[in-house]
Amino acid sequence: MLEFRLVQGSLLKKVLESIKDLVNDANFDCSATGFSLQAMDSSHVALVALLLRAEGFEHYRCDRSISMGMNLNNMSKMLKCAGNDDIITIKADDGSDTVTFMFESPTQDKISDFEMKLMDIDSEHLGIPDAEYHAIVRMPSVEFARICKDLSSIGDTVVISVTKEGVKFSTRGDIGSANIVCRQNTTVDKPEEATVIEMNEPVSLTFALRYMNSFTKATPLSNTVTISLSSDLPVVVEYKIAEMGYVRFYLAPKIEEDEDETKPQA
Amino acid sequence: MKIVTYNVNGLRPRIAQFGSLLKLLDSFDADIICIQETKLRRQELRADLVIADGYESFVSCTRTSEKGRTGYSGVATFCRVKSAFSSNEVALPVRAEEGFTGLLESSQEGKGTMAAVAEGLEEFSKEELLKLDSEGRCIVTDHGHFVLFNIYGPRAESDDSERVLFKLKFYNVLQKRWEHLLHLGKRIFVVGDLNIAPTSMDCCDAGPDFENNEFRRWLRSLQVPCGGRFIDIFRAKHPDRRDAYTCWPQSTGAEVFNYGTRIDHILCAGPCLHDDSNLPGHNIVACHVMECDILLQYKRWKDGNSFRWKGERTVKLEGSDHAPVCASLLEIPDTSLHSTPSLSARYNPKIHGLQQTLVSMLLKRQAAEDSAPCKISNSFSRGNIILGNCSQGLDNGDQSGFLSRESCSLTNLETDNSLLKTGECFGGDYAEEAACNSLIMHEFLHTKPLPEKETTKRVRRCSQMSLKSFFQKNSVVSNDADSSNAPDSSINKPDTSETNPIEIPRSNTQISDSGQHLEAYQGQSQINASNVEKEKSGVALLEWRRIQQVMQNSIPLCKGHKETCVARVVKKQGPNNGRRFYVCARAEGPASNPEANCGYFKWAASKSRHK
Repeated sequence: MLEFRLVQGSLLKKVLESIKDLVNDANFDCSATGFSLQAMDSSHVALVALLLRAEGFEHYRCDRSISMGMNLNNMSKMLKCAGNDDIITIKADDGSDTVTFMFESPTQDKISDFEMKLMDIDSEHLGIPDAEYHAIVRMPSVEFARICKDLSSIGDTVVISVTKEGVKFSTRGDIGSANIVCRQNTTVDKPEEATVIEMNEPVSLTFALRYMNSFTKATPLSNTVTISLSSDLPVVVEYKIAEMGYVRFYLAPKIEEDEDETKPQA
Repeated sequence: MKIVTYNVNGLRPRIAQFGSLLKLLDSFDADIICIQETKLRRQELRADLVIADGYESFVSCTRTSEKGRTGYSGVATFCRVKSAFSSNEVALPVRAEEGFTGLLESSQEGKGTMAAVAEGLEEFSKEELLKLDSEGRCIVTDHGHFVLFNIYGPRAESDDSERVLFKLKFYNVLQKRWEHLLHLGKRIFVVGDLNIAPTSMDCCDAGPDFENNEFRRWLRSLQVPCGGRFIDIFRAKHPDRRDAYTCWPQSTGAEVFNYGTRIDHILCAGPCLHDDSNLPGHNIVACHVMECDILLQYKRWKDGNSFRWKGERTVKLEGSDHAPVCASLLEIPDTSLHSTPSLSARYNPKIHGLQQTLVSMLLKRQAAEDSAPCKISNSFSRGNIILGNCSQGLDNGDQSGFLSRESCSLTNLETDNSLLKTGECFGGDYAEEAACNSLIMHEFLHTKPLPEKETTKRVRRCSQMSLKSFFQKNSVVSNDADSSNAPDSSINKPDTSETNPIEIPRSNTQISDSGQHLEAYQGQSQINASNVEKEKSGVALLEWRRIQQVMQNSIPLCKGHKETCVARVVKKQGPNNGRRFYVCARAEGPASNPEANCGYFKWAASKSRHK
């Protein structure tokens, strides 16, 4: 028996919107500590990790750790039926083939139950390690989304280069090239508008904008995004979910076959 | 006399590809060019899309907006003529009609008179005839010696009964019209994309029932060997040629292995033009057709293309998914004097005369300016080099564009230099700034407007690393070793054991036991070797390497090439809608070619718990 009640139901809606385009179906792992997911995109290039800690729910009950396979598109269809102010409760009985989403309107005068069929999905828990990164950039998530969108109209890939001065996003395409530099900026009124760069070593890596753009679907979840880069590790693009957890996207860089192009340009 | 048929798959992109409509038409060096699938909307017809100097154009666009299809279908016939008036050229039609039922033409003239159904079609109701002609699929031009039908045949999926019925009716009525014309003693040429491959020889993957299809049976029944009167000119000239295709599906990479169909045809019927045409052995093809061939140079895919099809098109190819078909005719005498029929686009007020486009206007001005003695660049001593180009006039559009830019930057440069001089008089700071400016100008001068192709190519060549290859890039291990593993074998063990022999020398150990052990050892040696800070990233690196392998290995390998498959999702409605599966990533090709798609298919390991 499991039952999670989330007062801020819109959060779950946003989570689904952020990952459903990247991942087709996935196992939701429910344990006493929280609700989590780990899944690859269909080309097995990018990885998504989602965590919603038990403390973030108004009511959280999970008698026994279980894994529920769901088609994210179908789940999104169901969650779209919930209002933005609705309280969402997820329920499943042990051994059941279905999961139930219950939506309560804030005034309690409307209660909807949606039952969704579960799936059997073979997937192995990957045990993503913690790592030290050469550079960590925190910046407004809207800004990052804008940069990825703008650059993708010019090129297919983005080179992210971090130096002490700032972080540079550059691309090159048939019509020309583009460079966007964001400088470290901590003197802002609101902390979420700051651009903060922590750097141990300068780093410059190339990524497919197609994936970066789908990562930015998570922008509504958080005002800031954290990009962690190391020359020998996949990039982590993290959106924190207030007081509850995070959505993290992992992507291996692209390699350039020509050495000239891989040299950091900063 | 040369006739070409070409399904352009959108006239606009083809015009962009060739630079202008005129260049596109001239590239064929043909007298009559029949184009299908213009995808133009009637209200968008503009002079630069349908009018070219030296050609008379006859255009038909779809008239319905059923299912939101506005820029859909559409055919156009272009006739190369020396004079549009009082000419005796065969290429200039004597009469022309839009559609084949006769109903469209009269409605266009807007005389308010009731449209007259074409002779021979009286048995059909006007509504059904109008419907057949409403999609812009036919232009008929009468060239005196023969009547030319430019046809874009409807495409119908076998399970779409409504469209199958439409296609059936379309050809049924067409055939009636042809029979009537033949009965009157006319010669007929039918050219275009009929969307029918007549025999199994004309299709790459013809099954045993291929030729039983009603449309294929119908097309064969029209032809001489089956008792009809038409001759498929290409087949008549090349009775045994196999793998001769004119259309390659876009979504499967079919061009790579020439895995297509022959659905663009030039058919003809009627007696030859000789006096003794009744003698045996005389027919249009034998007497008047010199050659008929598929113009493969228009194909999108060039054999030299270096990039590979990998489940999708990574590089956009320019061109139509069809190739043109061309027939050269001999001994067609001139006709009597006649003028361009009223259907010609030159008489369409919507296209011509009301509004000239900015481009055409500016071009005219530029032509006038270019022909004037070029004084612009003369004023600079450096302009001399350009002088030559400039006098070449309009044809060198690019160069003259470049010229004006260069001379403009030269002007700036000169001004800057003069500034520099004045700056020297006034003092150091200002001079420095000016020098800086002129430097920038120099840079500007050197940036050419042309795209630097070499660099672009280099950037293009970068490829998406899988997590696995990423972590192995320092080691000597090639990915081939891993990809030979069975896809469903549990991930780690076989990989690491294969990785071991190569990594051992690096870590200076002789351990060749289990992979796990080695990994642990390697991790340890790294710890010892490096400082504490690196310890964590070393572990993370190893962990990530493992994750990469899991990710990589969870994609099945196809049985034909042992290459990673591509994942797709069922889009078709039905019980499997939304289900994921894996298929071979290669382009489709003949089964006999081991390099082509091996047909591997596997459902992804997820399924609904309810049946």
